[in-house]
Amino acid sequence: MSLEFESVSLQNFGPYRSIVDLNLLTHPDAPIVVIHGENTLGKTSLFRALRWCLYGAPEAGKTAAESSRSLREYMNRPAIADGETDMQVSMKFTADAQKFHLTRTARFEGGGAPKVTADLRIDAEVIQPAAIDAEIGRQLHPQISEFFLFDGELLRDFYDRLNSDRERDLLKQSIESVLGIPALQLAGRDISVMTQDATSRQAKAIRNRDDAANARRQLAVLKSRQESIEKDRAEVETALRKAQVDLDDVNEQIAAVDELKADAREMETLEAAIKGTEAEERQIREDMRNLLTGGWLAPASAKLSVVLKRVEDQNDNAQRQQKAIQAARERVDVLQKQIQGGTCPTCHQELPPPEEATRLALASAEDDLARLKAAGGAEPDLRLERRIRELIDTSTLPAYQQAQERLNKVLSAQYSRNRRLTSIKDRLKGNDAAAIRKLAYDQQQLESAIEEYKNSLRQLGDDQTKVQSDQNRQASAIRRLANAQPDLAAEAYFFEYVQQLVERTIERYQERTRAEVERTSTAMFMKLIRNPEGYEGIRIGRDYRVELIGRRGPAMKTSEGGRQLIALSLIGALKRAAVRGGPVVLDSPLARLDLEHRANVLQEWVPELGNQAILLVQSGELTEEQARDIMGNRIGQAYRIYRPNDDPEEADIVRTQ
Amino acid sequence: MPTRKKATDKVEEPTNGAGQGRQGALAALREASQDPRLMSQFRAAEASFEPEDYEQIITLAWRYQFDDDRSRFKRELRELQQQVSRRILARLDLGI
Repeated sequence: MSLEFESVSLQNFGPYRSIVDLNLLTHPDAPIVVIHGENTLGKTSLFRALRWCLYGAPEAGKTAAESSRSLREYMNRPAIADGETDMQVSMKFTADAQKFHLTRTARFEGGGAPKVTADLRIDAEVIQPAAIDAEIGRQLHPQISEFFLFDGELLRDFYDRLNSDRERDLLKQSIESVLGIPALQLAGRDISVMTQDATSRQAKAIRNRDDAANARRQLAVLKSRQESIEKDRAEVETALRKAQVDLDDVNEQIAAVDELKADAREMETLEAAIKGTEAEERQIREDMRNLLTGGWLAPASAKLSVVLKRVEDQNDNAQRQQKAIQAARERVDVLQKQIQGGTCPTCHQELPPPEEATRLALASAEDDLARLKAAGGAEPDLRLERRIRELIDTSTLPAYQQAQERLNKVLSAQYSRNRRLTSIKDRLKGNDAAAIRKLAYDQQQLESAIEEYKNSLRQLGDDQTKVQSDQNRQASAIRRLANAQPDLAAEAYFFEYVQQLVERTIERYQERTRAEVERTSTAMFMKLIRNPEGYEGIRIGRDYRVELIGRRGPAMKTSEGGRQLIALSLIGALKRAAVRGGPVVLDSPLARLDLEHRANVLQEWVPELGNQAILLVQSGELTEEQARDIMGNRIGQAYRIYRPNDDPEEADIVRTQ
Repeated sequence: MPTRKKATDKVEEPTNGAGQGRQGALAALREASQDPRLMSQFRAAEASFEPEDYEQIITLAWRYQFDDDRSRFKRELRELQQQVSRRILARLDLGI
C-alpha cells in the first residue's frame, strides 16, 4: 500500500488558530510521528480534524449530515470573537503514486448549520464535488476508519462489546468490509442479473414457435429443478453448518465434562447446604420473633433497673435506719439494766451500781433512740423490690443478640454459597447435572444428523450433476436449433459459470479471512503479552466470537489489561488485513496499559500496522524521554502541543525532533 | 510452545500467496475455479478461461466496488464475456 499522509493544515479548528503544513512525512526506517500533548491541550481536536477532513464527520460512527449541526463546537472561539467565519482543514497525501490535496471548509454565517464545502485535487485534476467521497473511499473507506484512525478510548470496552451478538455482527461486517467482500457480493448480484437476462434472451431468440415454446418449457423445468436443488442445498448446508457448530460446542463441553461434573457436584452440595441453611435461618428468625414476643418488657429493663436501684437504696437506708434504732434500743436496754442492777446480759457478770455517768449515758441513748425513731423509721419494702426485680428481663436481650449474631453468620455463609453457586451456574450455563448427562446423547444425535446432511448433500450433488447434464443437453439442443443463437447460449453459459464461481469465492474468502485475522491477531498478541508461553492464542469463531485460548483450553479468563491487549491485537490484525493499508493515527492508545506493555505495544505492535504511524500521546502514557528511549531512531518526527498564551482556547504545535 | 519473538521479527505476512484484499479475493477465486464440482459442471467454460480472465473479474469487482452506477462494471464484464464466449464457441465447434 503506497498511501502516505504528507501534511495537515488547520485553520480555526478547535484550539488551533493556524497550523500550516504540519509535516507528517516519514521514512521507512523512521515511520513514526509522535505528537506529545497534555490533556485538554488539543490532541483529540487534531485527531478529529483529520477525520473531519477525510469524511466530513469529526467523530466515528457519525455521518457528515449528522455532524453538521455540531460542527460549530469545533470552530475556534477566539476566531469567532475576531469576526472570522471559516473553519478549514486540508490534508496532502500520496496514493498509488498520485498526489492528493483535500480541503474541507465550514463557513459559519448566521445561527444555523454551517455551509460545508470540499475540494479535492488529484495531481492537477480537480475532482467534481459529488465524486470526492467516492475518491476518498477508494483510498481510505470510512468503514475501515476505526482501524486506522484509532481512538484509544475504543480499548475501554472493545473486548466486552464482542460478547454481544450485535457487536459481533458489526465486527464481522467490518472485517468483511475492510477486505472487500462487499465488492464481490455486489459483483455477484450484477452477474446474477446478467445471467437471467442472457438465459431469457436465449429462449426468446428461438424463432420457431414450437421449438421456442419447447425450449422455454424445458428451460423452465430445468430452472425449477435447479432452484429446487439450490434451495434444498442451501437449507441442508445451513442445517449442516449449524449441526457442526452445535457439535463443536457439545464436544467442547464434553472435553470439559470432568470439570463440569465437579462443578455439578459442588453445585448440588451447595444447593443442599443452602437449603439446610435456609431452614436454620428460618428457625433463628422464629426464635428471634419469640424472644421479641416473650421479652416485650426487655426494652424497659434499663428504666426498671434504675427504679430497682432506687428502691434498693431506699430499702438499704430503711434497713440501716432499723439497725440503728435496734442498736440504740439495745443500748438503752443495757443502760436501763445497769441502772436497775443485776447481771450483764452479755457477759453475765454482776453489774456495778449505777453512776451518774450511766444515767447521763442512758438519757443520751434514749434521746438518740427517740431522734432515730422521729427521723422516720420506714419499713423496707422488700416486696416492691422483689416485684421490680421480677419484671427486669436480663436474658432476652443477650439471647436476642446471640440469635442476631448467629443469623448474621448464617446469612454471610449463605451469601458466600450463593455467590459461589452463581459463578458455578454461570460456568455450567444450563449444564445442570441432567444436561451434562444429556451431552453424550446430543453428541450422538448431532453426529448422525451431520452424516444424514452429508448424504443429502451427496444426493443433491448427484441431482445437480443430472440437471447439469440435462442443461448441457438442452444447451446443445438449443444450439442445434435454427436461429438458436449459439452466441447467446455461450453468453448464458459464461454468466452462469461466473456467477457460481463468485459465490464459491465469497465462501472461501470469508473463511480465509477469518483464519487470517485469527492468525495475525494471535501472532500480535503473543508479541505483546508478558509470558506468551502461557497462551495458545486468540480464536475467532465462525460467528466471530473472540476467545482467548490458554494451555488448558478455550475461554481462558484474563485481566482488564489482557483484554486490552486482545483488543489491540484484533484491531492490529484488522488493520493489517485492510484492503487499503497505509497510515495509522492513534489517539492515546497506551493510556490504559502498564509500562512494560506500553513498550511492547510501541516496539511490537505499532510497527506492524503500516508504513506510517502517527501517535498522539500525553505524558501520563508516554513522556518525550520514554518515547525516545523506547522507539529511538524509529521516530521520524516529533511534535509538542502547547498553549502559547495560557489561554485554554488556543493551542499551537512546535516541532521537537 | 510459543516463545517471545525478537523485537525485530515481523508478524509474518501470509505465505500462501493469498494475501488479503484484491489479492486474497483473486486467490480464493482461483481456488474456487479448481473446485471439482464446478469444473465438472462447467467443463467447457473452465477450459476456455485464461488466467488473466479470473484476474479481470476481480479487477472489475474492485474497480467499481464503490460505484452506485453499475453500468460501467456491467459493460466491462460484458466485454470479457464476449472474448471468453468466442473461445467457448470455438472450443465447441472444434468438438474439444
